[in-house]
Amino acid sequence: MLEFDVAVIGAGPAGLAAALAAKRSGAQKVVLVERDFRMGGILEQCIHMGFGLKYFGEELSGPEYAARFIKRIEEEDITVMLDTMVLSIDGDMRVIHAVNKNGVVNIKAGSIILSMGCRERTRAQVAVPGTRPAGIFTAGTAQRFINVQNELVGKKAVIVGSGDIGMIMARRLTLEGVKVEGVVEIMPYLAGLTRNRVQCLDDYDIPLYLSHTISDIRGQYRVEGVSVARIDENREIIEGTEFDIDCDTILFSVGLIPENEVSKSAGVLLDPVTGGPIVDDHMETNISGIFACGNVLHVNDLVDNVSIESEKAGKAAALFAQGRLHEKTEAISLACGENIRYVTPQKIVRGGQDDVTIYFRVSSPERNIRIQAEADGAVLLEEKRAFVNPGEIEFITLQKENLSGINAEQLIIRTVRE
Amino acid sequence: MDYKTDVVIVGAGIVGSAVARQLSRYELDVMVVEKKEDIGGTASRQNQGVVCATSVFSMLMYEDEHMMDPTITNLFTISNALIYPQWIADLEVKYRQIGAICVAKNQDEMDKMEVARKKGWERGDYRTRRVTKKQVYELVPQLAPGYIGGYYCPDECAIDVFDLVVAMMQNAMENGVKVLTKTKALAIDVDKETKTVRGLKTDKGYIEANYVINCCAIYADDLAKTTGYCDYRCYPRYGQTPIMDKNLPYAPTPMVRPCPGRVATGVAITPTASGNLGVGPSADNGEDKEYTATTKEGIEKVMEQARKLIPEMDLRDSVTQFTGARCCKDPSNWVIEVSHNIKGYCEAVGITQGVTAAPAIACYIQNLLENDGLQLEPKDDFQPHRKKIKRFVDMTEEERAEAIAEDPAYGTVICRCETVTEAEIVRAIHTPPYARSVDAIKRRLRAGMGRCQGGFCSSRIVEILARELKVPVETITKNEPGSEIIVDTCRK
Amino acid sequence: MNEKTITCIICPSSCHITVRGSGNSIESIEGHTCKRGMKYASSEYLHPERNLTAIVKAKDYKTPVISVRTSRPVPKDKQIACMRIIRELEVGPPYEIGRVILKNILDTGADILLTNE
Repeated sequence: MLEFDVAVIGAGPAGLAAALAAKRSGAQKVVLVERDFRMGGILEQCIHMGFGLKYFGEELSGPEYAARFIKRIEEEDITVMLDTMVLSIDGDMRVIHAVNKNGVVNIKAGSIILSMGCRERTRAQVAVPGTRPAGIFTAGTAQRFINVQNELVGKKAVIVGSGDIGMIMARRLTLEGVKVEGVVEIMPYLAGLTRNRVQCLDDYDIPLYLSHTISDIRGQYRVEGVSVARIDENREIIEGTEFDIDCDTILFSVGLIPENEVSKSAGVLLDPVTGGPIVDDHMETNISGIFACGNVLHVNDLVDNVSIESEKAGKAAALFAQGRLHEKTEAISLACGENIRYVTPQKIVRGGQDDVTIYFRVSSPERNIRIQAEADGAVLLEEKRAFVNPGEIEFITLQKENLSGINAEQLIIRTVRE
Repeated sequence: MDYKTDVVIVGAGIVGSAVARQLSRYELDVMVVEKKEDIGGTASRQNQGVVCATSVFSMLMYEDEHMMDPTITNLFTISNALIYPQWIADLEVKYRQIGAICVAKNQDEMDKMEVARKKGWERGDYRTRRVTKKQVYELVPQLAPGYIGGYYCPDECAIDVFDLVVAMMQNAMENGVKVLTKTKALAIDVDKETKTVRGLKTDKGYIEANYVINCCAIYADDLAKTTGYCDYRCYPRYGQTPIMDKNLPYAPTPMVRPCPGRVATGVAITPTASGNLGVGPSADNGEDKEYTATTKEGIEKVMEQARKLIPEMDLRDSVTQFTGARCCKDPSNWVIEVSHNIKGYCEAVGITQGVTAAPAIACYIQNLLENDGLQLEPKDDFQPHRKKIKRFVDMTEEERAEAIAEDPAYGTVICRCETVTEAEIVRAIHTPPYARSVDAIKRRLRAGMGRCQGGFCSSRIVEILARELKVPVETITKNEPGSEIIVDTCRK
Repeated sequence: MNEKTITCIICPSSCHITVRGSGNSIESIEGHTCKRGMKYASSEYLHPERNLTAIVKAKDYKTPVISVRTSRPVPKDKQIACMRIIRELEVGPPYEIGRVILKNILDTGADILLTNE
């Protein structure tokens, strides 16, 4: 049995930042466990730009953003175990069960940070009908095939879902000589960032079909085409609007799901809306000494936010391992008010010494609104927003002075129209 | 290339594989011809979630009654009571007893099921019993309100169907049976004078043989016609089936079915051997034997019926949806016989419950052939146990350490959802019946069958296949030729 | 006289900004709600530029290809031509982030840099 003060599972952006912060917050022995052959996680295949503006003040590609953290990890005395797969966690004992080519690896840790990231939703979860031929990929899988393995997935593609990865892959495919016939989005608005629509679709005249769905996939062995149809507000197909697109490839970019199979084995409770653990403002889960950060917690749109949030988890985990994280006391729970789909953290420990940033998503797009934090009928904080969109994470920061006076059980976050 | 053999089995589905395994016990040259790239047939491949229906009662509830002639009933009874457990033990096939319950909404349905129970009893089903409303809800607490009782059989088993097919064929091959995949049977060659089988014409050459056994399921009529005698028609019955994720809070322990109506068969909720839930299937007759697709309406209808049993059923918890083509025959009786018209022609057609009956059918056919004069000399060195690929997911921690020490590839997990290691994938490629495609790996090991549906592992499996087979990645297929996954390299 | 509608990407408001002008001169900009938006619209009208990222063949590297990018944005209409050149590149060690593997691609003033190591 190996023993560490802090064990971090997953060396993607969340794990890298958390491990580094843990080390710098005084944890002596830190281990980073990664299943792939290198650190960096999904950033290694995100070769496009757009990372780091907030965190580093300059625009970087995914691998460059990861490399800055990897360098720091390598400079610190942090143990990195690559090609090592965590199979389960004993939550009470805080023992990680993993394997690699050298055998079974068991790690007893003072505290554990869950940073396994997320996985892509598949065709099955959106129940697209039709045949099941070759040529159907999730956008991220296609991205790995092309950007890491040098393998081209098709010649003529349709993309389902207007998430960022889908739009970025539309451009990537186009630059690789693949004809992208269109992006089909079931919602009446874009799922990803406007910037990506402009630079990934509009630049190459790739059609975007909002309020449309794939009503059929054809092809027995390889994809031969799709049927696309307009839908009404009940998501029912409007008759007579159907048209066919010939293609040999379909990429699904229909959302991400936090990857929490290992968390479940430890007894960690999940939020049904985020799909990630319920945490307090120290990023601690319901299981004492187990922390969570990054996309395992909720799906982020900006890696910079992941790094910032994960540093918080790393620091708290280090303090916990040293016995310095103050006792779990009562917590204020956060509730979703008008047009708020979820908030994280879901709880704030009373008597904290830090400001608390709350991340949330809205349920539907709105213009000219105010974000309110309310407890016991009193508005603690109010911020204006010109525009909010379900595709983009919002956050507000509550000052510790604001928090210390709260006696209420619940703090409600909501949007209010002007 | 031409071949010479004693017996040719056409079709490597569950029946063909079982027959091959049974005949491999004897000093006999046996070949299996399969037109697809992998064994497993059409129906058996798509049968990944269906239970080994052990009770005659459920048969009576769900199938045309006139197919239940006494021979068939005996097959079931013998199969389940005697043959099956032995085969499963010999072949180390994953299965678990789950039981099955048919639930009734009203007294009418209870009466209908009581009639079925009596008929079942006449045919050897002494185990299915009536249960009260209280017992029904104890067995299935997740059941929707409003059911008044039901009939329960504790013997139903969930079995990994494809593992059974692979196990039977692997064991047959280990005992000397030759399998030709990607080989299409074109016609049975019959001597017109003597009306005797001379061999089989295939698109890959001529096979000289004394016996041809037609186990082509849905294509059986096409092959039978080439003998000049065929008085039946085979057609597909499409079944749309959502497969649900593991560990759902609303998953029932036993298989749950409603009392079927006069026409429509009821949609069942079936726990599978691997711990998922199969929902459905629907049942729509069709013509096209090859083309299977799901439809929005079809899947929604299945889910709607399933929600009548368990209201929480949610399509968003589904890991995949597919349409299988089950084999139907018109007339619908099973025919398992040596031909009276053509000497050396044997067929097993119209089999609608292949998973349950295959081992028994195999033993029955072996006796038929022997009665017909085929010399069957038992092999001294028949090896009934297959050399099963050690499954990482089923190992204890000590066994894992040992396996990795022996082969470090056991320490590399490729499929995360189903915990499948590189060592198992490499073995599946090099162990008969050799996996040659991504789907073939998936069927043998469940890699890519989990909730991410291969999102993580498929790109790695393509590379492992190419590496092990020493071929370019562009030639690796999902399944049949034409289903290549990679079209080109990005940089030469 | 030309008219072009530009979707602003400076902030999530996504303003639709209309730019009128002829040749290299701008007559009017309408629809923006901030100064940054106006600046963006004008540069997007006069000389739209994009960062270009891609992969190149890599010898003796941990994967068959390595990621690259342009050191500065290149004219939008030169992206495809740049890609044609990048496709033919092949690199060997040393693999260092920021290493220039091609200088001044198509006279754009942009170099091609490695973005991984």
